[in-house]
Amino acid sequence: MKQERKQYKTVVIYRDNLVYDINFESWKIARMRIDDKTVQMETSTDEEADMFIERHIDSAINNIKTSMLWCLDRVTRAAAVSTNKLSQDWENPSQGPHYEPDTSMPVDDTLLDATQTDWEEHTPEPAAARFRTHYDFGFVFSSYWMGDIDAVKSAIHNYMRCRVLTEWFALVKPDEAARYERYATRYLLDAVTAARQERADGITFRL
Amino acid sequence: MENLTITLSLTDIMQRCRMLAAYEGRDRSDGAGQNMYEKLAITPQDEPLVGVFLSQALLAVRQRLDDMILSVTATAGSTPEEQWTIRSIQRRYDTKGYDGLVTHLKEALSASVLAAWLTFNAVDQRAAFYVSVFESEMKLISDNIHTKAAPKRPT
Repeated sequence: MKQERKQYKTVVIYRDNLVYDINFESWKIARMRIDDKTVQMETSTDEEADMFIERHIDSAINNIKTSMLWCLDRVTRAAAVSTNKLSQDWENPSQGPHYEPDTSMPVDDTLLDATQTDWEEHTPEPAAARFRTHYDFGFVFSSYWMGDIDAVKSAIHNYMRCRVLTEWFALVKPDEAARYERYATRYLLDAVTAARQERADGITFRL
Repeated sequence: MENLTITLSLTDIMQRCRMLAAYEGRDRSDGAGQNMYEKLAITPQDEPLVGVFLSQALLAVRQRLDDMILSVTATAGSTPEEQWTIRSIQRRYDTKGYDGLVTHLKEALSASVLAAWLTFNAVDQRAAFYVSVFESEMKLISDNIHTKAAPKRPT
């Protein structure tokens, strides 16, 4: 039997580009649609919102992984999403709480190993130093895949941007949140559609 | 990159208050036709009281800008001053407005002190004028300090 040739593709989303887009859009919307300077400042994302942004990037990555699971490679499927992988305790044992697995209930070793720590909002050192510089998505497509990986990348980038802005505006300017939610849904669908661009050539039917 | 600091020389502000109070006294007379210079000019004996007014003004201004101030350091001695570290990095403050911010702060503080001093001396009409100056300066300060710079492009 002929072995099917797989196509391996990687999408890298750089955090600084993503955060720039998020900052720029919220800043521009605040400037154009709000007169009061104090409200403007609170409406625009900044370094103070870094942790918020990071957590919602995590959510976006999880949603992407759930929606595109069929074409993700093994490493991407297994990888923990951004901040959860980084632990404050590993780097700074003297600062912040130490998380111990709850051993009061009988659990097997696999569950113990999977215990995830969370970050404290009052992290004592600049949070930016801890964030990932990029987010990788490895894809395995069949030999019939005719799609454009740039289209997948663009849709993923835009989905992550809109997902974060949906959550941000839900907090500070709810009328904008609905619009970004629609965009986010559309971009996720675009990513899935781009990943499904398969074409089968040379099929003959014997009647 | 570090957060911006604003250094307010209390001696300078006091000096400005002395100058403004002297002008107010020179141009006014009381109901009996007496020039009010003697009464309104701030003398060394008045300075402890005016110092209290200045402390209250500093508190009031800091309270209104609380969301943007990271820390405050006060220095006593022959040249007393206050140093405010503002959260310029975290809040992406537009540093183009820094010089204007410092100027408006000095004006607001002087106006607040003068308003209190004139009220103390029962010159209510001029006190109201300085209250309005203080409020308009505070609006400018608030707009200035809450102006966010455009995000930096990734390199």
